[in-house]
Amino acid sequence: MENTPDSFATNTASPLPTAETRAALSAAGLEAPRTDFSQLSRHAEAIRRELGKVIVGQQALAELLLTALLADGHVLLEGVPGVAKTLTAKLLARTLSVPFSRLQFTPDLMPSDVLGTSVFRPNKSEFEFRPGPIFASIVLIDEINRAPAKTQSALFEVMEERQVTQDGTRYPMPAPFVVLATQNPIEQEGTYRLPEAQLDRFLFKLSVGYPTVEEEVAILQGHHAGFGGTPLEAVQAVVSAEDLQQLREQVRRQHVEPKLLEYIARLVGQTRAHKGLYLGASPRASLALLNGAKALAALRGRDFVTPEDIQYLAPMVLRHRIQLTPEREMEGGTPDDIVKQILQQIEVPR
Amino acid sequence: MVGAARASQPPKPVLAPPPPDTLATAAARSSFVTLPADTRPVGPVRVPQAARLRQLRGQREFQYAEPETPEPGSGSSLWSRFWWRLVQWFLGLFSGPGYEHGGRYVVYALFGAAFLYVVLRLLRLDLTGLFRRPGKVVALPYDTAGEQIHGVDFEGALAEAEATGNYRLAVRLGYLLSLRHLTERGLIRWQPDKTNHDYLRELRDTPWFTEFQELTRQFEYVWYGEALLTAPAYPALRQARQEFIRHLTRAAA
Repeated sequence: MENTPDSFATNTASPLPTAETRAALSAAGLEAPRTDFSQLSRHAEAIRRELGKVIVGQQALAELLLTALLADGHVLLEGVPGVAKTLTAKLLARTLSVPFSRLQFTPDLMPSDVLGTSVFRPNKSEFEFRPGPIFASIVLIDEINRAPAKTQSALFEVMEERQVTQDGTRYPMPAPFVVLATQNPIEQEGTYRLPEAQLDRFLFKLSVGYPTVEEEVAILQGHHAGFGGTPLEAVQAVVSAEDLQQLREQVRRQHVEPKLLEYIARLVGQTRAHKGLYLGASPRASLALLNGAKALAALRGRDFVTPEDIQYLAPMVLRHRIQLTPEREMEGGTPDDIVKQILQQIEVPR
Repeated sequence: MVGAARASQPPKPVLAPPPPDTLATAAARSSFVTLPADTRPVGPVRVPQAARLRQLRGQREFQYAEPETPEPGSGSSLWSRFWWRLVQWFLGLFSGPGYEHGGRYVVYALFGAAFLYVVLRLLRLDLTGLFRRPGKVVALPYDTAGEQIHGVDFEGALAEAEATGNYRLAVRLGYLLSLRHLTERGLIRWQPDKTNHDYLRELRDTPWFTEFQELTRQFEYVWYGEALLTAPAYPALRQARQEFIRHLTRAAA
């Protein structure tokens, strides 16, 4: 994860209170937890452990994927070919005992290939809807930016509203419903830029970078020794759909200090006023930042959000929702640079 | 074949010219009327009446050349005269000897520059960045915000918060006071955009890390977590803060 924007320094404070802190908090009468995160911690650890059987390093990536799962959000994984984007997504899906589906996006893919289509039944003299591969709980869309805008737009409704409307009939998606999409950087041959409306529907855009030398050696050792079968067979389902729904319910109840809501709004609002940006982030980005911060705080053992959570997630939430002005792009600026600037401009509520 | 047939025919004899047409021969053809020749002298050339000519020339329908716009008279405003001169100057760019002797290239350059400007504006490009050094991310002037911890009477505010039983605010003020002590001793660099964990990272290799980590944890639970803090529970937190500040002060002394 070195050399990637998402390889952040580990949190200075341990996720859970230390023994000393517990004692101090207990003495102060603060230790009585408002939310019991033991189940969440157990499940999160189990998923991390299963992913760790195959994926070397990428702890930050695993944490962010778990955060998205808990926040009920879709994830866009971007990286050059061969950095285990698809494998990570497949493995994550495998750790959950929920219906899984995989779509390989190609330039000739049609919306009906994704959503499904109505088929005429001569014996009944009526049309019958045949659901497409999107009808699953975890949907892996591989190389999403290889399909043109027409096919991309077929995902708008299902990603946001968790339903497909076909011939006037509404087909709700199962719960949970998470889209994990991978894409190559848009500079790659044969790729399309995703529509803004679709990008906005992804909770996070995560950059997957090259492993360090040590990690790459570990990858080679793992593959050389074998996984006792294929990498996928090494991973088992450890969390059910019902478990995930319960954990999400816990996350929804997380406490957020009102000043932090204002902080989120100011951060996102600043993207609309920044002169280096052609397009700022939408209110949906504010919601994404809020939900993500709540989930991250829960994963780190807190039942309340801190500015650290918000700052940590801001690049992943905002980078795909903002558009640089052409001159800023020509100067070599990146969305992450802008987000960093904005974070420097807004005072942390304290 | 036609050519060959013609070549075989004997050449036609050259016809004799017709006899000159005389009145007699014409009369003989009897279809012509003989008129006597007009031998009268030619009359004077008619000249149009000057008044009538002037009248016609005065009519707009007969004025084919656009007259030059006369400069507005002295009665007109300065603004209209300015515009007249500007228009005349602009029209002069496209005519006259100056235009023929290289002035046209100036005009071409002006038009080229205008076209380029329009294109750049449409594409929203700013090429001025090519001619200057890339801008550095300049630290924001934090003086105003810095006063939040440097200009506040924390001792007084703390005493007031404790007296009124607002322990949550007291914990916050105490934490800010700790940050001020750390800043004054150069252990951290205060900036409003930094989180508590940024300061912890700055203190990582110092003996103050563990104590400040505990203070941070307490502050976060009480302030961001809005954990209920009762009067019997508060002294423990106050003591932890006071000890931290005492240690800092002692080390500085």
